[in-house]
Amino acid sequence: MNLDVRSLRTFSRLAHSGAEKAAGSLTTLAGIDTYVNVTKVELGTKSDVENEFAERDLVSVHIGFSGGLDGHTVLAFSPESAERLVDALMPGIDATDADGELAESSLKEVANIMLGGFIDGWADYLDTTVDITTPTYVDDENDGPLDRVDAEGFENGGDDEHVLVFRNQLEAADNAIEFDLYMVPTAASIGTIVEASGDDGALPVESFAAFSEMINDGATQASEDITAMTGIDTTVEVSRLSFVPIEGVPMSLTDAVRRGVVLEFSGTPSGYIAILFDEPSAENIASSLLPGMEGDEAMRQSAIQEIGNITTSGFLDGWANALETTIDISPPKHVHDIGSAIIDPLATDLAQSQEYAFLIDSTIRTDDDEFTCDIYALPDETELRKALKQLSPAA
Amino acid sequence: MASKVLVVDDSAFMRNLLKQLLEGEHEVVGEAENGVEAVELYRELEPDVVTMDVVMPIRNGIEATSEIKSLDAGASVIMCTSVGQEEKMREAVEAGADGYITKPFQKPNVLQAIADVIQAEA
Repeated sequence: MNLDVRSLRTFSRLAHSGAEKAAGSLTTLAGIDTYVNVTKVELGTKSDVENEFAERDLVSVHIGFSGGLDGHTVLAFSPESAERLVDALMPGIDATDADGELAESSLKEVANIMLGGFIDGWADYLDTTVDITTPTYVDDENDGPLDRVDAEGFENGGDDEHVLVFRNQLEAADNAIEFDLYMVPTAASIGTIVEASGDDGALPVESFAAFSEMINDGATQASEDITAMTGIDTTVEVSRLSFVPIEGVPMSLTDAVRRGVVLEFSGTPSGYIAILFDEPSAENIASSLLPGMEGDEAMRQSAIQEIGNITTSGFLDGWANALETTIDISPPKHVHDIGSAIIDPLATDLAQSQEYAFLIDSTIRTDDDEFTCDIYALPDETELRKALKQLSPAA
Repeated sequence: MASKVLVVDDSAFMRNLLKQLLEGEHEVVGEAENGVEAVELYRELEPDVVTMDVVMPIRNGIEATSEIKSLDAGASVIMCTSVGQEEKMREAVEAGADGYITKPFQKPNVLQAIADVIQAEA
């Protein structure tokens, strides 16, 4: 099966339009103005998706689909968002009450209508019929987050195999309710969609999977370097390769204040990388690198810049070696702002030459959540395509 | 025997860290923030060893190493870099680097690298 940037654009547009239909359904049903924040086509492992569900403590409603397309859709909410949604639908009902059958039933119905509308868009595009199953309510206390999702990946292996996930972040106009709409088609169904988009010169999907593994290896090296430097025992929580409209890139980050560095890399591929820490983590790092120097802010900033520099090298060196090329890195620029504001100028620069971006994001953290570092890389689309071509089995 | 070391890195933190690691073992005779300063200080201070960062503004470490080697073919330069790319290492060797340490580094590795280049010089 082959994938190309053109297929990914088609996927992204379809997913976005389906999500808009879903948002419209909710507006009609609950009277809550809802809009699609960002739509991403993500390549990751099933266990990455499950980790995210567990981390965010999401409750979800699952609906399977079969026929012209096979796979699963999932509507996932934070417990707070679920509660607010149920309250809007049926005031006075507690959505988090395990015995709250009415609450559960209302969430299932919302999902049924929203996800049904979402799948209809895909069926129309493919000029086929897609049947959907009855909705299943899943909370993390009773089931593994994706236990019911039989996500057949590209390699037909276990939880570490790669799956293509269509992810839409939707938000109510008053920001009170946020939810994610996932679609996980089977590998065969991805092939069906690619065929329908009439791609030529596409790349084997294994190239994307190989690149995704490179991202994970790079993040692991970066994690080891942080641990070696600071003595803080870190692990890679998640690594993802997403395809997202360029204007959606800043929205992929929260509005939390972050501190770290931004660097430009050049070669094949070229682009930008941001190594961002939440403020307590940045302070922890500076203190662990410079014990007893709490008052020397210039030196503390230099320490954060240097760890950003080393983390970037750890992340990118593996790419350069695997691609048998050289990737040059600029000196690190210190940044301290809300996450979306840090990424915005980088996306704006890339927007001069591309409409969509590959967004690579990895999270490194400690088991106790006292330290979190997010790595965001935005490679130039054309050059990443060249790199992916090099990774294809036929190369 | 203690050697005179010139520390070159654009990061004040890394220069400070290297000074701490070398304290009591070698004498840090100067610090430079970029390749241009490194060449100037090399001329002025004539150190036994230069620890040279690769990625720096104004002039990078590979260009500075090449220039120092053209001034003094016997100069001992150790690349101290976070860049672990094989091709970059080859560039550094071609520029005349006598050794390299990959960041994040530990004190024994730094001291060993200095001992190695001093021994090779002797």
